Amino acid sequence: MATATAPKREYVVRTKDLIKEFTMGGQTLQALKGIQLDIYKGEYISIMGPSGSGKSTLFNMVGGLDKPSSGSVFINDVDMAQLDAQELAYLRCRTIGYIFQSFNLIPVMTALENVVLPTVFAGTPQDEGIERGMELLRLVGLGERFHHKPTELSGGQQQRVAIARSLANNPAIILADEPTGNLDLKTGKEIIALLRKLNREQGVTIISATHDLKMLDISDRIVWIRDGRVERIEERADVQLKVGEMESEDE
Amino acid sequence: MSKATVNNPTIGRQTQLPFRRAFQIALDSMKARFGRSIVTASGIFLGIAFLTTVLTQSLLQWPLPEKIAPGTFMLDGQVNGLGEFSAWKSISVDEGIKAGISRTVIERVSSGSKTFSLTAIAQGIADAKRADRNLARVKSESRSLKKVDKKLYEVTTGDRDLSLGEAKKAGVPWGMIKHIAGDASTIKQSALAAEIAKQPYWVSLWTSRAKRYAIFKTVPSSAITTLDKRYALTLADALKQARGPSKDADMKSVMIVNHNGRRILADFTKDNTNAGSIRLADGDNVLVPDRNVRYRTYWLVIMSLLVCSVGITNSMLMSVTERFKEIGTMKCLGALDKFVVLLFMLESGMMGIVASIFGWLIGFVLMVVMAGFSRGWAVLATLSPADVFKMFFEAVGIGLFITIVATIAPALRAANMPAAIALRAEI
Repeated sequence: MATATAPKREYVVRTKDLIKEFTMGGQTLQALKGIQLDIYKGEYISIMGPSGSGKSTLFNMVGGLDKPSSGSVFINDVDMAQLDAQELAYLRCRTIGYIFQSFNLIPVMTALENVVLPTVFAGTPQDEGIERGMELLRLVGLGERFHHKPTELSGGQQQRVAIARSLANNPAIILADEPTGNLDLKTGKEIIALLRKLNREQGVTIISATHDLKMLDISDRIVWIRDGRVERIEERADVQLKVGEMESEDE
Repeated sequence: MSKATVNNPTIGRQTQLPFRRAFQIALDSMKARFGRSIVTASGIFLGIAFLTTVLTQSLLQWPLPEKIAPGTFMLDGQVNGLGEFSAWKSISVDEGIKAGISRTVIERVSSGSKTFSLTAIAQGIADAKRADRNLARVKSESRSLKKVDKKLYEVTTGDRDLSLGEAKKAGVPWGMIKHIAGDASTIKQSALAAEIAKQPYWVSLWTSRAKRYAIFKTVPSSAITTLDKRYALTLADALKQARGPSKDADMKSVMIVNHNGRRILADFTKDNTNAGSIRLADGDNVLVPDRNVRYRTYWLVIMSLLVCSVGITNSMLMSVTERFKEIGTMKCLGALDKFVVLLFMLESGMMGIVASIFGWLIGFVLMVVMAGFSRGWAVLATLSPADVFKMFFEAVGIGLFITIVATIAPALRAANMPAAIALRAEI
């Protein structure tokens, strides 16, 4: 069934021969060695790999947070390298939502202000932005705590605020860099469930860099990265059994 | 949650937020991190307060109008010559007579030549005044001599030598003792008795001296005023004639505070005629500062500028770098680089202005109060509002300028760095 529908599906992100080099102490280090990746619209994709494998670097390239040394990233068939600063900002504002391992909430702002901020940058009228912010906070289950500052919230709650914030401008893609990395097992599971729910209900494409095996269970596809290369791409069906084994080992 | 479709994938161009909105965000951000803002602002505050103390100090360098004897002025802290009269200029005898000074007076001071100077007349008048005072004193002393008391009787009866001190102790006027003794260190009792006996002569001696000088009293002040108008003593004259300025004198900023507290600044190196047109009057203070004073002031101003800019740069650098992560986050949420820079400019601008104003206020008040206690509250009179205003704008301008310059570099760096790197920044 999946194979039958696949050709009709639209690509939302495509990378072509993506190479990223860092120069450290005079030595050139290749973090990405030609990544070729196509991501479908509405897909939940996990980028797996050990730390240092280049998955965060890939995440930054796809999110337009850093420029590749060579190769290109296409978002909705638009080459990101061709975009100027204003177009890139537009893309980051409306097309992509970001979730980080360390939440990256603005510490001096309340939960609501944090969620509303992207709508401010999008030029949404203030009342509308606040309404949207409250709606999203209720969606992630924090409707009551909108006036709290990040320091007054638990890690899980902060990550929920970050998820609400990433959704503020109805993005097509949500990029999540180790979203459960700083959370305990139970909270991590809740966050994963929330992401999955958003993916199902709102059709938002979720790209998540992670080494949390719990993610595998819900992903449509898993991209294994090792040493700056795509090692293999697996459909969920192929790994489900394996995950079950691993999880039982964990618990 | 409405079944909102995901955002239209067409790429547009992010528009710059209106300035009003940026201002509001900057203000909110400063309010939210009030404590940190105060710490940052205090860096600016201290720098400007320090700079202001130095600037105020240089304004307070003006000499104070002091009460000094009429007919004199102060040059470099020393009372010099005559201020009111055209002291050293020669005036022709004819002109003097025409102005209303009696021939007798002029003949006395010109001693045969065709010209005379008002200094001589002024000197004569001063002597005449002194003679008057002496005469009055002698008269009162001679009156007391008439009441010959026991002590004086004992001293004057006999024929031994008296030491001058002994005679004075007995009540003999010092003037009389000196008159009898001449250069000797003792006087004969008999001589003293004889002198006392011919008291009238002794008094008349002083009277005649008084008469000698009394002639100057006949000089009408209107005549001197007339001549003075034409031959007034100028600052240039004074500086030329007086022992005045030393080699290190700073002729570039000669300062005068006249008896009314009015201030004049003369530059001799540039415009000698300017100084020539400044007429000195009674009680004027002329200060020719040492050149080192000026250099010291420059040095202090430069040092305080350096200290103040290093302090401000440090606090602004710190306050921007510690927010790299926040900048990265804002860029992820769609903030334009320009907007980030604008935000920091606004924040630091507001902080710069407020902190500079307070810094100036504290620095200025502190310095004036200190000067007031140490030099007297008359210093306030030497501060002209125009100078104070000028200094205010200088201090606040410098504060704002340094703050903004110190913010631009880190803010630009933060805005231009890829969001991924800004996000990774750890402080």
